[in-house]
Amino acid sequence: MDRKQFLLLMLIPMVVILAFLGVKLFTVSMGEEILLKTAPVDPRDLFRGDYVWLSYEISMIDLDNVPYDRDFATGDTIYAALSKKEKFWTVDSVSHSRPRLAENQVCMRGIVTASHQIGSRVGVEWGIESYFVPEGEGREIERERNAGNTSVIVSVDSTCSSVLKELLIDDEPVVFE
Amino acid sequence: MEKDDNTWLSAEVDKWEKQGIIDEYQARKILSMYGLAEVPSEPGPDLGEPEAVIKEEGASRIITIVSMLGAILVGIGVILFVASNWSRIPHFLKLVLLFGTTFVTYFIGWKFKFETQSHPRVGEALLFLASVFVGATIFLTAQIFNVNTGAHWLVLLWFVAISPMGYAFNSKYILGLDIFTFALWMILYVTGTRGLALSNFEVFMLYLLFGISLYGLGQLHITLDKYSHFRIPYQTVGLFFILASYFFFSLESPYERYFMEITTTSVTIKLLFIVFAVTSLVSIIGSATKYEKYRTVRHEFFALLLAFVGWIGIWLLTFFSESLTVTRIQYGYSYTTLDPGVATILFVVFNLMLFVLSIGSILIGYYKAVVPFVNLGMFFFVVGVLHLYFTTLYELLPKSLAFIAGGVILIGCGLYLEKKRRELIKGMEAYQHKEGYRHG
Repeated sequence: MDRKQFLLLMLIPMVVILAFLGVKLFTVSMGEEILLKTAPVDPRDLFRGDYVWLSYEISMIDLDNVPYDRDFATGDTIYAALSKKEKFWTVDSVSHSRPRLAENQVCMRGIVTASHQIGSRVGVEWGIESYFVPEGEGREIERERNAGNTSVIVSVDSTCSSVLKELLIDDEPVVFE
Repeated sequence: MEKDDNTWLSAEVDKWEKQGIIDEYQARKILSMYGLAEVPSEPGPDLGEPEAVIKEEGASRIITIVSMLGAILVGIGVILFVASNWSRIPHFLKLVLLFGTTFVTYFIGWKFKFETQSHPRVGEALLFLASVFVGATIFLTAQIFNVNTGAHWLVLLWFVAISPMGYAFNSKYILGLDIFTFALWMILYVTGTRGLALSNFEVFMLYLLFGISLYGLGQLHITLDKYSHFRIPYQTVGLFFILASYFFFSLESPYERYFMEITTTSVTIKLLFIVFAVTSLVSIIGSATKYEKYRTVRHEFFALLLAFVGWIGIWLLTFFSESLTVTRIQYGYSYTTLDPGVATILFVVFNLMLFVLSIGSILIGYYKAVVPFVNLGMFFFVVGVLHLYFTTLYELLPKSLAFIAGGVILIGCGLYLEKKRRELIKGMEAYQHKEGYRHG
């Protein structure tokens, strides 16, 4: 293998990693920032290593109260249209495809993780459930989260992709020394 | 001989030598018969003495293993260093560090193995390490953006990024990493759609087809001179997936509750099933075409066919799920489970198939002179016996007697199998010398 072939070959991993980086940077820089309320969850299976597992009020959607296009099955892709209510953003409607948005709305894309056993509610993973923290800092954040004092700033772009940007405790950004 | 014949013979002998069918001494001896090479001196220390060759191969293998272990340790060290200081490093510097480490390692590996060819073994280890670093770069970059842990598509990205490296660098270790990342992605993807409990049967149904396809892909490599040595890694991993799937099927508990849940709703998983079913069929047809030609292919053909027929059988049963299940009520809840009679029949059939396939793997290994196949077959045979012992005989005997009997059986089995394994490997060597070929 000569130098030219080697350099061409190196383009493949480089393009893959840069494309991934580019997509995420696009969401962070071009997306709209929204504030989501976290929900307290069973602490037994939450802290795994150096990240905190977050659950949101929008992680469980009650289809009796939220308009939807058709029934959801576990593993389905789900789109939600959200708008700001007082302080936090909440779900206005859910669908299987990208929704038409009003001016005051944004959309998020997730995966249905639970569609039966819980009546008309569906569990959704939005891809923003992990928040990475320095070693040993997770437990304090978990305590605050379970006390109901945490929220997050999420960047959401026009393709419904989202990136968790910042964690807030009592409306103050969490800063690590 | 005509000039064309000479060229043809030289090319063929060169090919046989590359494929390991004949050694250098034999190649020169054949060519010398037609005046195409000088008559080689009898094998001595200077030219291809078997012992010298074996020693040389052994030393090379040790260098590769030591270099590979070193590469893995360095890799773990770098990843741990970066990960433990993660929060103190600015994002931009993190990316520079990750990219720099990955591509500099690739560059040094390439330099050693290809450009200067001064340390090919170390170069190979570094290229493997760099391919591991690609994964670390993807996962640590994902961490910057708080991407969920366990996101299956990160593993898929890793696979896509390194998929050409095994062939481009002609490395069976990177090829192994390619297969590992793809298999890991499949399990993460399938279990991610419906959870581990509901999708475990589906995972092994997919792995079974994946195994048959890999085996066939390995077979295809015999025709590719440059990559003919990829045959064994592909086929070993393929056999592993086939036997592991049947071992899973031979366990009673997974299909008692989840057998009827294997019908997937995901389009991607359906597509994966279709693709691997087609490639499995192609593999079996490929084996069938060589059936008459080579004795060694016979066992291979039957093993692949049996594995595939088992898969078809399970798939067909899902169409009759209503007549095969019963509804039970426990603690006030009703749930559907497989009819106990059907469950027992399946238990017997799957266990039988596991044993037949394990023996098949040993036979294929014996006739093809491939030790890993023999070891794999032995391993799953023993695991199958152990499972049967603990699920059936154990219940029938008093506990203390069961343990003593189990221990005696295990020790006896261990001694007998080790003796048989050695005999088989010796027999394989003798067979190889006698037949003088090692075709697919």
